[in-house]
Amino acid sequence: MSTDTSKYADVPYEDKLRLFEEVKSDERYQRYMYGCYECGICVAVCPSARFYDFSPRVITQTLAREDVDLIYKQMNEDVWDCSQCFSCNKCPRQNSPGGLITIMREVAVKHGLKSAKEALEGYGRIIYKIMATGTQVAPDMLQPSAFPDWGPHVKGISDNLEWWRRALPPETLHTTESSWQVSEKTLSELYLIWHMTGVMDMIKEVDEGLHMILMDVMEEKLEEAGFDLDANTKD
Amino acid sequence: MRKKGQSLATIESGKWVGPLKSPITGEILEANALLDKDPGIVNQSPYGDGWIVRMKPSQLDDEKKAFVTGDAAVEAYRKRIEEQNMRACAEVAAG
Repeated sequence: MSTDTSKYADVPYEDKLRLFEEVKSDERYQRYMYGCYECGICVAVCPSARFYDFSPRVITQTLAREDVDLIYKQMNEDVWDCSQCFSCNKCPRQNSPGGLITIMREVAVKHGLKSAKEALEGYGRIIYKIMATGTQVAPDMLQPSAFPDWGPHVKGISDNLEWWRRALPPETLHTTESSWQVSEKTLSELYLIWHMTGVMDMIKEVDEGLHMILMDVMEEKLEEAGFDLDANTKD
Repeated sequence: MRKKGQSLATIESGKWVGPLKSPITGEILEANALLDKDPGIVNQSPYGDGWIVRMKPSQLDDEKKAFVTGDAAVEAYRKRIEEQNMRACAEVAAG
């Protein structure tokens, strides 16, 4: 994992520092960062470290050293290589490199860093489906038309989806229909939560178009449910 | 009533989703129900059966001034295709 920060030399140090301060002031930070003695267990168990040029240890070390320039570089590049599986929570020092990365990503999204926009670009439709319907993507959505970028093998998977799913130990296809049955009340509550907790503001920062169409979907439901959108949002 | 820049329709592709932003302010009179069954018509017949909404403009005279049309539009598209490195579009344009 490169430690070369020259690519971001033009970004004022104060801006980088402000982002780091925001990461550090997150209430979870103190519970995720106790100090690293470089044992490397987090790297050994990390699936991303195995397949990418990525190291949870380097991220944790960089934060511990408060290397503001390198932290900025990592927020713009490396944090997006983490799969957020939290295998690294095996840390004997009880650090959570994955948790630290969660915070770094959230700050990157809040400030609309280019890397955040790029990393989330491919997930717009998934975010739209989940936030508009209030539910997860159903297993039967694994069709070639929905995932053209996965290549021709998706067809093989979708053709035999039932058999693939039966091969998994827990039952999975039972949610195909029920997962889409979200009650109106639940949906209204989810919409309000996303408005009040700043999720909608974050989305606006990284994808204005997505924000626009989500607002279209949500506005009507919230008004129907008697929520005062103006009083509950910054818009 | 839709203001210029607000969403008229939602466009979904494999991964991306976004709004079709209205070029004008006005009232939506009708939406093309045919598109529910076959959205591909938009590609096949953009100036015919593939229309999306019918609108009654309310500030057309003012908003028309901002339109880019004719040769200027072609040139603007060409520039955008180059800037964004849209290879598929370049191949189509080259025939």
